[in-house]
Amino acid sequence: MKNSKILVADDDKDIVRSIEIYLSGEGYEVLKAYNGEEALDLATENDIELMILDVMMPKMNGIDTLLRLRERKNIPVIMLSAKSEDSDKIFGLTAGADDYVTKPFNPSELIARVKSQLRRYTMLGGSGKKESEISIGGLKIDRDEAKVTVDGDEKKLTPIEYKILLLLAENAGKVFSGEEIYTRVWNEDVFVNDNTIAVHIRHIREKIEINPKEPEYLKVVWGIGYKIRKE
Amino acid sequence: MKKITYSPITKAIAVSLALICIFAASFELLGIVTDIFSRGEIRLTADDIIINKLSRSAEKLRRTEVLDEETLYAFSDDAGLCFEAYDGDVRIGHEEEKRAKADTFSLTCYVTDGKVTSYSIYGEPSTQAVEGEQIIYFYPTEATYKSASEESAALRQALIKRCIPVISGAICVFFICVYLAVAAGHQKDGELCALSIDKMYSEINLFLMIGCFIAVILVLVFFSEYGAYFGDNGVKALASFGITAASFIIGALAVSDIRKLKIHTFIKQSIAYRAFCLAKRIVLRLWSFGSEIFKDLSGKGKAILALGIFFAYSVITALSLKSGFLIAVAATGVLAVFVRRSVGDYEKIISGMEMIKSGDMSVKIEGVEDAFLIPVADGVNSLSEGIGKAVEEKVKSERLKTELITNVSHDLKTPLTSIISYADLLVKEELSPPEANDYAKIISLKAEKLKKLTQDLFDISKVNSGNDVTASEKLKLSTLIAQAMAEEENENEKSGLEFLVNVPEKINVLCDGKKMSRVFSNLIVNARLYSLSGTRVYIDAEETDENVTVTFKNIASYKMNFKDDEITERFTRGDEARSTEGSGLGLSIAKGFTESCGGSFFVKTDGDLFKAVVRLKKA
Repeated sequence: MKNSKILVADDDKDIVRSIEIYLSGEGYEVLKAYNGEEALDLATENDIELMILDVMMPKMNGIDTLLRLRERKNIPVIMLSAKSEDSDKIFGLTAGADDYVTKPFNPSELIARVKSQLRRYTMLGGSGKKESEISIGGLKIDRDEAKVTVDGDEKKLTPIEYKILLLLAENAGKVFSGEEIYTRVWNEDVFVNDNTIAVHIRHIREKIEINPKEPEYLKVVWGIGYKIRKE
Repeated sequence: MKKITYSPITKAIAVSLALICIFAASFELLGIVTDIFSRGEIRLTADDIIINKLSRSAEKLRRTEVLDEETLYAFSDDAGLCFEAYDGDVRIGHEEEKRAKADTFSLTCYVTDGKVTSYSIYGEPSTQAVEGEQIIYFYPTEATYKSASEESAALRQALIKRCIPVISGAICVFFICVYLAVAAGHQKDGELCALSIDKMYSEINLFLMIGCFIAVILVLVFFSEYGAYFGDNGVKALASFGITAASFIIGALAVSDIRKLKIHTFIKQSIAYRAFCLAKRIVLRLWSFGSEIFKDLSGKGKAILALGIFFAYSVITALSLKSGFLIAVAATGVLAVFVRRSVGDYEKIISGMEMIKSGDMSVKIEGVEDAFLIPVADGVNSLSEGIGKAVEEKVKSERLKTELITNVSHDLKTPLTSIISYADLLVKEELSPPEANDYAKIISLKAEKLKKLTQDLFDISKVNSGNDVTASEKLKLSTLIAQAMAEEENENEKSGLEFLVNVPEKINVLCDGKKMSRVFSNLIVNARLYSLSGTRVYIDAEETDENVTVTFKNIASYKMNFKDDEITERFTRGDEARSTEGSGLGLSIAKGFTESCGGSFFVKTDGDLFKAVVRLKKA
């Protein structure tokens, strides 16, 4: 947590510096690298808890660095890249990254993601899973207490919002149309309209997502419905 | 071993051996042949009786009397005999033929039960009595008869014994021939080679062989007929020599044939083959000569020639009905050859074109021979090459365009990242003088705007370059619009505008959901940014048989000084002063994304009314 060591690797020195300023402002210790080899060396020599890794770097690019790192360490890695295509994101995440942030990024958002990843990482070894708990990434829903936490922080949802979230989380990966959600949650057959559901979903996203416009958990399947991603 | 087998000395020895065998065997054979056909010789002696039928008196043969020119004619019922007495022996000859004096002769009679049943004589007398002729019967004495019988019996017995040497000789010769056949052509070292005799045409060779063979047969036949008269040892020796010589010739020729077969020149060295080759050469030369002329003719010339030939053919057939059929067959055969080739070429061209049509520009039509079709094939090949090149160029330029856009947008994003980060830091600081905080805010805002602009530019270029992948799914329109609306909910509420959405739930569209959500998002944001405050924004949808039309209507907050089709161009903004937030790409992107889904997009203005229409395929 605080005083955790974070490694920032990017070939642009100014970007690295700006990230360093933000992170140290939050109390983290920052190690800097400007290419893949340096990053790996520092990772081997030091006890790093999180790595922010640019994709386009000389000597060894971010993906290769990530693959080499993953041979030995399991720490959270956030990829940073100007490549914003879906295919690039999928590629990065499949290679083993825990998150993918596109440049230019909102600095506050980056910080929020760093915190989120760190909390998840440290919590992983911690609490044993309860039967009644649904856990997807950093999102945890405690059914017994009807509590929703994201990376340890409790989020306040309205009853309707909670029910919708629970329905989607219990069937993580499955796409529900507005109608289906309405039927299951309101227990009524008369469907009001798409708008109500859409708005509810939007509110939930604003509450639990770091960046509602780029949701991590609650995804909009355009023209069809909504789903929560499977772990 | 080969050396000995194939050496000329061995062969010479073998040949000599064979010739000796043949000589001996044929000598013997001639004797046998003579004797077989003798079948019991009766030598008339003075004691034998001749019955003069006319005078009916039996007269003994008088050995000592020489009846020179006088001839006695005798004709019997079953076998007419005419006698000519000479030198004490009876000579039998035909009445009408005066025989020249012979040195020896014999009368061979076949006697059964004391009666002459048939005979063998020099010359054939008539079996019919002619008027004025006398008939004489001739009866051999018992002794004569007996001795003749015994003699013939003994002969017959001896025959068998005499066959043995002949047969064994034949077997010897046979084996030697086999050896010679195998060794034929092989030299000492086993190599095959031809001799000058092999240059003879095979037909002549065979002809000679047959001739010699016939000669041998003739000799044998002669001996069978007249061997008894002339066949003393001298004659026999001569004849055997002749047979041997003939055999040698036959053998040499046969061996030559075998040699030729071995070196495969048997056919080549024949007259027939040579004639055939010559004929072929002549025909081919004529043919190529004709083709040359034909090729040089123009299309019209060829057509005229073809018609002319057909006319000539028709005339010939009409005139010469008898051979018309043959001519018809020949002419059709020739025509068929041409037609087959032309049809084949035609098919080649057609199939080549099919492949080119389906997109394979690398296909080349080859092997067309028909003079009419060659220019066609060449033309098609050139065309496809040209098209292929053009396509290649286009693809290359598209690829370069996309690469350029990707690289540029990437290069823009990197410094932009630093600008945003540091501007944000400045905003968070308390700067002095206080105005500096405003400056920092402005930088931050504009940096964000620049970020959005870069992303929009990237998106629009991608979709316009055609390299973008667009999904196509059946989606519920009301859901899509509700979702887009939800995303903008906060801003929409703040704007004070009223959004009236009327999209029937049953409408489904076929499009890419992510892209269309962006389109609707842009239009909603547009409406919000450029609407007169306090007014309403109408979002309606209706469907026809094949399409779905979604309309966004709002009242503009400014005077719209543009043509409807201009506003969707990149960077054209309704607000000429460019002071509000939009980037100018919103409508461009909306149009591009809609079209990439197979739909259409246009803008219609009417006074202050701004209408954006999205038409999509119904699903």
